[in-house]
Amino acid sequence: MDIRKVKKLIELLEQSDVAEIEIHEGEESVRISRHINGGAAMPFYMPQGMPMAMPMNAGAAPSAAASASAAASEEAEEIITGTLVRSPMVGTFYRAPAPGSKPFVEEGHAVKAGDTLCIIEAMKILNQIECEQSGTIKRILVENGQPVEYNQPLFLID
Amino acid sequence: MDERQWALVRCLADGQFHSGEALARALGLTRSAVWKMLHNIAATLGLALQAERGRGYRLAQPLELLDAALIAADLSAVGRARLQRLAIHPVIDSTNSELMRLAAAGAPSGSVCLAERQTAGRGRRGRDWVSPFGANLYASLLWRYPFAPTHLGGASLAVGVVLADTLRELGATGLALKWPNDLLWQQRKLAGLLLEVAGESQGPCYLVVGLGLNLRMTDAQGSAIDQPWTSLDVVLGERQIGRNQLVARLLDRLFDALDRYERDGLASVLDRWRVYDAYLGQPVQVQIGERVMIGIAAGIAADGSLVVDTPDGRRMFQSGEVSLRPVDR
Repeated sequence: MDIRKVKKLIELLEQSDVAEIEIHEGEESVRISRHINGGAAMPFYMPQGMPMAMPMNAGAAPSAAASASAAASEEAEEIITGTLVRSPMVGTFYRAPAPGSKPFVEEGHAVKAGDTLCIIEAMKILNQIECEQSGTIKRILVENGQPVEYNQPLFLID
Repeated sequence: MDERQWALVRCLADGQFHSGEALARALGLTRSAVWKMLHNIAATLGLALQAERGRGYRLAQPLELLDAALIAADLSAVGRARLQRLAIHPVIDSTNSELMRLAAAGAPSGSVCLAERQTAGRGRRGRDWVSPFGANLYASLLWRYPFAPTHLGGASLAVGVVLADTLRELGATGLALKWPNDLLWQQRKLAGLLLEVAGESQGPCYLVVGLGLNLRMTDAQGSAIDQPWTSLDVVLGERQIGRNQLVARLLDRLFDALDRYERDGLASVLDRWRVYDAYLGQPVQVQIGERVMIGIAAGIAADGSLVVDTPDGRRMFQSGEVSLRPVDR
């Protein structure tokens, strides 16, 4: 399921009094439930058969949590094969050195260790996040200007 | 700016009259070439030039240009030992960008980049930092740390406190910090800090601290600024300080703070930050991306996060733009 769709659902839930919502779409399903106690959000995206959970925050929804289980579709397999680059801190995600300038990387770009992938701004410090391996950017998982949580996946590199 | 233009600016900096003939001789140019160049630099640098028949040309306002020898002479012995490189550029895109480039190429801890003018001075995300020639301070410092970049979060507040302390020692009163480190005077922006970090996720890493301090900018030069601002000359009144002396004082104190941060982190400056807190107890809004949250500013947490009491409870912010919220009418 498209991450944007999941995000939309979370936003929808936030604006309502509904505590939990579950949606089936073909072989995929997603369940989003609200944290009543206001605790830290811990959303998961978990393709079936994955031994380890991969936390993935939908950014704009700190008070809701999503859990999605997807059948082993082609897309899910693609996600499993790459390495996730995660956010080392809480902050705001920027894809370019300055607004209006070219993003550091695009999907499909080849990258090598030491290349700058993005900037995460926290406490008014612009942190350049460097690539630690060589490969190809398969997915960019966060939109420019969005808040990110600690450990949130930012890029998928293969 | 080329070498001859720069030489011409240095000739004129004293604010005295210089005859076209003397300038032509000094620069090895014809008088008409000097005349052209004078008008050219006056226009591109925003300098007011006066011409008087029989006396020559002068700047309406003398300039105290940045001078490495004067700065070094005013540094403390410790500061001189810490200063590894000092580059002064007449014009540069951004002192931070330049120092980040040099850092990536291996420049040592204690490297400093100053400029008389920035053509692409940067504020926080996408804002221009208005940087007219010779009027203000645009300075960047490089410091290297053995630890991971994530440990530098508090450095943002620590350098803000040191900046405020240094100016207070020079006689500035009524200074306040807007989280995390904008320096305000009577709700007007006096200085801004922009920190940039790069390095390996487990360390080592390097930090570039960029300082933009409004010093003696004229209203015309500052007309493009989109928020209330002031300058240090206004704040200090009769106690004005020379630019080079001010640079030396700031470098001494900032080096010291950057060095101490490695050992003490933010803990030792938290209480001093709280003394300068501009918005404590006031209604504020925090903007993150397109989201805006409102509440009452409740100070800072031990890690330097902004604490806000929102209608949904107490929240900490590590990112976002805080501003005073107009009281409902």
